[in-house]
Amino acid sequence: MRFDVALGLELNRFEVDFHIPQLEQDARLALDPFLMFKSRHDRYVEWHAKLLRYWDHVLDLVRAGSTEEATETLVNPEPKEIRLGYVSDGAGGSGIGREIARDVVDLLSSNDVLLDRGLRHLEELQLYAVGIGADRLSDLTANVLKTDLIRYTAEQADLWGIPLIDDVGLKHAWHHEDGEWVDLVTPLPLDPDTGAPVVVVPRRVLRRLPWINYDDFRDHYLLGFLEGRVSRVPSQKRRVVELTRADLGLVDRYVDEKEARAVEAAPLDLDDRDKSTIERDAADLEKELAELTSGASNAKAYEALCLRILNSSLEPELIDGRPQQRTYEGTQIRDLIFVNDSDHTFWSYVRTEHKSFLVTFEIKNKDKLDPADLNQLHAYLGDATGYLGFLISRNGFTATDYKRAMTLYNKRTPHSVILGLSDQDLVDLVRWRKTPNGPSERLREIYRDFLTALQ
Amino acid sequence: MPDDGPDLWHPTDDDTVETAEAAYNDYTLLKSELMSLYDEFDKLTKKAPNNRLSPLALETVNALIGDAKALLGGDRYVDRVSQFVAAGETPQNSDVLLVLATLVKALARFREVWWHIWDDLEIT
Repeated sequence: MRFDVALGLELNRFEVDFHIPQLEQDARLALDPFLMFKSRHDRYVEWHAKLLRYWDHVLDLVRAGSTEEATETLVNPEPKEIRLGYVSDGAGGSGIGREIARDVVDLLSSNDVLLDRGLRHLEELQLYAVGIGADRLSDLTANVLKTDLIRYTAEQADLWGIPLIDDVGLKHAWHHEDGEWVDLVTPLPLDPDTGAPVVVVPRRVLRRLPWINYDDFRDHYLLGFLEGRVSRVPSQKRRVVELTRADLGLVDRYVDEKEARAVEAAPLDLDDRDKSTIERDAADLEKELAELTSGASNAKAYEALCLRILNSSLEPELIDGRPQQRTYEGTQIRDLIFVNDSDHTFWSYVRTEHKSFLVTFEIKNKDKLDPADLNQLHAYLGDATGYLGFLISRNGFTATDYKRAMTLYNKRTPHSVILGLSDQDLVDLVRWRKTPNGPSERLREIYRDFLTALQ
Repeated sequence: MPDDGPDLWHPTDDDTVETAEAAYNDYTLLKSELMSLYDEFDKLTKKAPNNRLSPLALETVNALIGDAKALLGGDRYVDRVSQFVAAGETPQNSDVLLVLATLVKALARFREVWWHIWDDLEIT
């Protein structure tokens, strides 16, 4: 059963920033450190730095001759609370056991070059160690980042009304300051049937296999790198590992190529809905919008609905959407802020042209906008927020609003682009999921129309 | 070329020789550039219609569209044409050719309007 259903929440899995786990079955997905490495989001950049610091700690222990402690540092169990893995049935894999950990420590102890220069990516471990594959790498990543994932889970629980239970015990989280594994007692959601803790992970850092992975290396790169020394790729991982350990350049060149193609390293788009399912979801959202009356009393409900719709249409291009409340000249303003971590050409352009690493959607649960509504957003847009903002209202822009937005555009440099979206536009964005180019293309059209009208 | 110049589509007897000469000079300059770009994009479109423009090519095309609208503005079809807004994705060769074709046709209509005046004034 799905976690949200078990809790009686019934979230649409496309309308939230995190992957909703199945409680009895691990999802065949992996946390991919490379997606953190290439991210522009402070959170993921920090997560990647923490992974490398953990690995540096292991190297320091080996360099100091503390091989037993290094082994203990590498030993970590399957983090069952994450519910990711490649086991064919049920939940629970094996994590990194003592034998595999010792193999890695032996490798480091006997390979001065590797010990000296370390790893650029934790994922390289898959290419040097027989026992480490995508699943164990994901487990290690989850354990090292467990305290951060717990914090993320608490944020999402707060956003979506998932009940947190106090004083839940959780084993094996890496303590970054003390450099050791610790057990935690922390507020967490629980599986209502079994009482087992649940930790959720962002969709943005999930892939079926990590971008740097053993199968890809062996099947698509290794033979090309061997330069005629062998006529075919060895089928046994043990033999492949012998080759990589003997010539670290094999892995270096592979990683160079993968880094050069980083733009292609996309998070898994979990949206596997067919056209009829998308249409059904869009129709449901349309109905919800129609049933929600305009006015201040429904402001928060409208904002929550907009967040679900924007997540549903724009993840994984815009991520980590969250409400923000601020006051402008005595008026309470509600908006949604998303992180633009996308490689899509439109969002890349927006990030460069309008400094929009963050994208603001200001929410007005009113039928007709006032000039002040546009002025407020115009005043808010700046270096910190970027210069592109969306103003969502029930009926969108009138011709007068559009002219106002054009006037505001010309008012200062850098120009602020304010684009209006109506309820209908929001539902259309979900429907654009059915098209090959997706909803970002629809927003590009709206953007182009505005810039063209300015000519 | 002026952005908001006189309506050059309806020359009158009051128009001065200077106006006619200016129209002629702008016409010949635009024609030379426009035909050159048109020929280029005609070839590119035959070869690779879906290929997208480089940023420099887009800048050149947009500058030409701006010049053409300044001279030919007031024509129904030219007024419908806009400079391309890339927004992260430049237009395809075939799209550019379509717009240039509209401008080429408009330029021919412009010549029809002025030709007799230029001829009478021995400007050509």
